[in-house]
Amino acid sequence: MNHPTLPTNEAGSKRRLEQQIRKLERNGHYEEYDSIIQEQLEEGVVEPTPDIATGKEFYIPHKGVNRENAESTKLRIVYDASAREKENQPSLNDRLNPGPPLQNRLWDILVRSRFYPVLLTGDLKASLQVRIKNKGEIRSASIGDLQTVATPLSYVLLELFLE
Amino acid sequence: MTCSPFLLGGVISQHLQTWGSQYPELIKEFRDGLYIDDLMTGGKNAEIIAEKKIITAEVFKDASFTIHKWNSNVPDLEAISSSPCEEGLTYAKQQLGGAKPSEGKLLGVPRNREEDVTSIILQIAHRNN
Repeated sequence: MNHPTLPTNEAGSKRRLEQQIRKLERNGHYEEYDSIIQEQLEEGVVEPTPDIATGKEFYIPHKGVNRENAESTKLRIVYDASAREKENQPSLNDRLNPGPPLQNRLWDILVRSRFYPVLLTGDLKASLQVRIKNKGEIRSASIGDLQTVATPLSYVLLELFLE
Repeated sequence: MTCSPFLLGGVISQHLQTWGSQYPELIKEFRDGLYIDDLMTGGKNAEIIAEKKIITAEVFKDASFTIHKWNSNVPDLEAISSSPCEEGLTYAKQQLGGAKPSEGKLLGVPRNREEDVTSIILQIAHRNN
């Protein structure tokens, strides 16, 4: 394929992690953020990366998104697949195949909804996750259970959240 | 991720296919009424929809999707709950003044249920010549 290869994004992700940790400590969400990661570890959503890197890794930075008025989960971890190591280098999203658009046209649905005397709508809770079989190639620089910024653990993302 | 909508759409589509022979008409309706993770359906009267709602919840539950934020122009239909917990939260939110019951959204588009008005703001792009 005739395109620049995807950089590991390790340096950028670590930098973002340090910023993120400082921010979490400042706004008092550090413990909560860490507990989400611990939960993900227990549930098998993430696992510690192997010690030895193969050179094919890609690191995804992540950040906490706080939704004060949300019903259930107020603090969520959001992964940034659009992050790039350098401005002229591709992001993971740039290198992913988005696939064909499968969604209906919003306008069509809105117009059709007017034809029903009784209308019913609902939200699918997309708790669906895709499990990655060929793991080890997508990593996320993470705080882990360490209280220090100096040695961040990284975790392999085993599931992608489709939201 | 850029491929997430495709993966989600593909999984839903695949799942609906497995139910296609059991509820062919309903599944066709789902296919036409789905927008990413929002579902729009309807029918002639409240009785039909009440039954449809139960089957809808069953079909999606089978793929571990729960449907929440039910909305209807017939208020009773929102009360028949497939997951009491979700509805309870929404109810609590309404009581706390989080969202006015008349101000809902239809597939992310603002909609006033009492007046039965769906509003869309079209932005006209100005071209700089």
